[in-house]
Amino acid sequence: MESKQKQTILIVDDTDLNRAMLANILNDRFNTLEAANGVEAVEILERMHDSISLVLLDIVMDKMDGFEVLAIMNKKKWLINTPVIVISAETGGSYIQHAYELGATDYISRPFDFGIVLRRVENTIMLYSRQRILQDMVSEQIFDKERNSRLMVEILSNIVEFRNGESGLHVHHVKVITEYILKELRKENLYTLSDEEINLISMASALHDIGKVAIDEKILNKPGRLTDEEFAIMKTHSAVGGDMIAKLVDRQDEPLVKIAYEICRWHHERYDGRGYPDGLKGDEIPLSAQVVSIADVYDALTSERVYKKAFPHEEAIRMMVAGECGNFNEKILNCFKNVADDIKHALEMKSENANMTLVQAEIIMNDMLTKRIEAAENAMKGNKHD
Amino acid sequence: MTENVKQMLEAAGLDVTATLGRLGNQEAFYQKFLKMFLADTNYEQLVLACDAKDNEQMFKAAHTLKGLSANLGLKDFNLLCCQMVDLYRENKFEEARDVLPSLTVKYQLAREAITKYLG
Repeated sequence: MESKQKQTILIVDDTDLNRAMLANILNDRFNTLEAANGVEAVEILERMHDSISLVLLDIVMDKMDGFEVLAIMNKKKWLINTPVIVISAETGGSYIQHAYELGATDYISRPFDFGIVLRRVENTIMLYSRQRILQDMVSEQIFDKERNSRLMVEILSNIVEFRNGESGLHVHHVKVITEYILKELRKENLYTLSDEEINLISMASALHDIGKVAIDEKILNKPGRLTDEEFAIMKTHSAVGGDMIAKLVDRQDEPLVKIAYEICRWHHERYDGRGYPDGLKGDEIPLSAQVVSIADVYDALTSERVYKKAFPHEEAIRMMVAGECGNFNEKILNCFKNVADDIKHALEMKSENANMTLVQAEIIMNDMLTKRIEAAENAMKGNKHD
Repeated sequence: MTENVKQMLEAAGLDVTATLGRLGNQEAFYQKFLKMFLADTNYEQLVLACDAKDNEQMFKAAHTLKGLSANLGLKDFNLLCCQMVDLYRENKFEEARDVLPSLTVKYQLAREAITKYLG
């Protein structure tokens, strides 16, 4: 209650004398606003309910009575954060009952004691501000937890990228593109997707290449074309990635695990059935994998790799639409085209921001590698001495 | 407040001690609100509504006066306001209106005493 900023109370009563009495009680501790009827009260609340800590409400009024005000406040969800104390000359039980049913926090009947009114107002406001503080704390904690799990997924996927000799940007890009496409699919009413599902799929998209940790580094980082045999090995990464996820004990019912499995195993399937590892066709391929597949191909085309130069944005899109690179569900591809320009902008911004941290990450990683090699060499020397 | 003034107010149907108690024994407030009560028009509205046989408006004015008189400790006047409100609730509109003359007597008594008190 000692805060520098006084809290504001709205007094609603159609009689000047009643408002004056209540204002008199409260003016030392609170700012007061006054409304002479229900319509005025709703107008004021509409404008500034966020900054009103409590409403003192009369019931019998011309131009919208107190019950109606309560009903509107309930409907507009203002009652969640702004408690109402009803003050009335009424002492009938059913009348008071009705006020409570409509969401009033407390009921004060006339004649009232000034000191008691002040106490009840203060207590109610304190209770509500505690509730608000608790709410903020809980959502902050949820947010922190969420952020940490995202961070874990990012760290994990960066390991794959690092071994690939690529910047961690690819994982970032695929995630951003996936999210854009999913939101567009929802906007176009092609799929019903909740925020939660979009969140899960884009988070799991970061894991699409985890199977590559099982691929020989020589093949993974070979400059130039792979031989047929090498390519066959390279292609195992999607099935291997799926297996890695499938072997998680007791976690197969988790939505994130299910989606990660789909994405890892099937992000190289083709809509015409000529992809791998299972040759799934059309919508046998789960939506998550279809979307990530488009994101993966687009980013691979527009990025420089050890074996190829980067294609410009427009050229990459043309190739994908023309079927020169992959084969996709036309509806999803169209949605991708709708948001392609937005994606391009988003990725450019992200790359600029990420560059600095990536340089730092590379230095740290190089340092770690050098140490690991040194340790290995020392160990070998030791063996020889034996 | 002198004992004489207090007795004068009590004779006019005002519960001085209890009311001052509810106001935290601040006589300045008591005077301020009584002054506002003299300027309040709900009684006039009640009379007009009874004349026009406008039950709805009669109820509203009587109800507001019931609250005001309760807070200000106008005991005798309050009793008659309550009667009127209750009769309205029982749909006895004629009988509610019939309360007006005796209610007016108590209202006038209270007014005169308050005017004298405020000087």
